[in-house]
Amino acid sequence: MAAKRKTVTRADHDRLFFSRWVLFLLAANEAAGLPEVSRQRLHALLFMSFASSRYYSIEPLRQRARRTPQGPYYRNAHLALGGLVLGCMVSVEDFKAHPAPRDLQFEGVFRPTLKGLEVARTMRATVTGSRLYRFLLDMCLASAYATDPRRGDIVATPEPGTTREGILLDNILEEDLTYRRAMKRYGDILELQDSPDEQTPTVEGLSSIEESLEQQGAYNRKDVVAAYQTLLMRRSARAA
Amino acid sequence: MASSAPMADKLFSDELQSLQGLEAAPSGEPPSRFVQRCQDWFEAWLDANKHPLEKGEVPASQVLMFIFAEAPDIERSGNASSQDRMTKALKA
Repeated sequence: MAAKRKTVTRADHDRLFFSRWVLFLLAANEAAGLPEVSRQRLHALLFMSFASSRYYSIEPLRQRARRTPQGPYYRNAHLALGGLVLGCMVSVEDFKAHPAPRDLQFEGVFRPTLKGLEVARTMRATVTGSRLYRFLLDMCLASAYATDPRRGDIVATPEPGTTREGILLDNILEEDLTYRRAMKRYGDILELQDSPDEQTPTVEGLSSIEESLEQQGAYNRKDVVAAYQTLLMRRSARAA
Repeated sequence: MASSAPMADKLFSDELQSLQGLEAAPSGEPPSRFVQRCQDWFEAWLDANKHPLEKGEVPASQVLMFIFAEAPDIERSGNASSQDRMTKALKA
């Protein structure tokens, strides 16, 4: 007798999409040579990627994040990360259990493994996969460009256990226009948009940069994203 | 729409102004961007070694090799066998 067909539920899809997004983000971070990803930075990177993905015509996986003292938090991203770690696609260093009432969280430093890179490469073979990876790689390359010491007009003094690039990257993530607007509001939810037909402040910012660059010459979306992050970094330096 | 600090979630025109003279990064797929960077680097190298080159001080036995890897740290440690293969191929 033929096995009973089971449908893949919406929740299953959601979990799979999260795993792909998280794995691609870690692979792109590695490919761009950015500092290693802590749990906190991973969620902040996810927030900025969701806030800007529509600029690349990619639907974000989430419209809101939970507000925690360490920044934005996505429950599903954490579950995806756990799955990737157990599947030996992501390695963990400095593991620290961090039991939270609603989620079993853990802290650590995360990097893709060789197996993880190979899986990511396979998943990039699809049209959606390659578009998504391209976007995330552009975002990470933009951070590498903005924080490049050779372009350094901004000083950061790293404390033990941190790097100059790491501090600057965290500053960029904190200054993201969408994140700033969400943080100004009350409640334990960080929203990307006020209404479905409105663009996120990040996408608006990127579009205004694109408009202003168009008058100067030919640029790619990657250059626009890099310019955006450079401006955020300067804002943060001015506020300090 | 209520906004306590207006414009804080927008970019100011002076910020946009400051982007003048922005350099466009090489475009294309990662391997072709890598090749473009290598060309730039090689041109700079030729320039820096102009005199030794003219005087014939750079021996013809020297080889410059660029290897593209997306994640060199991980791929190098986890894929030692492919490097061995390459070394053998070069010796052959």
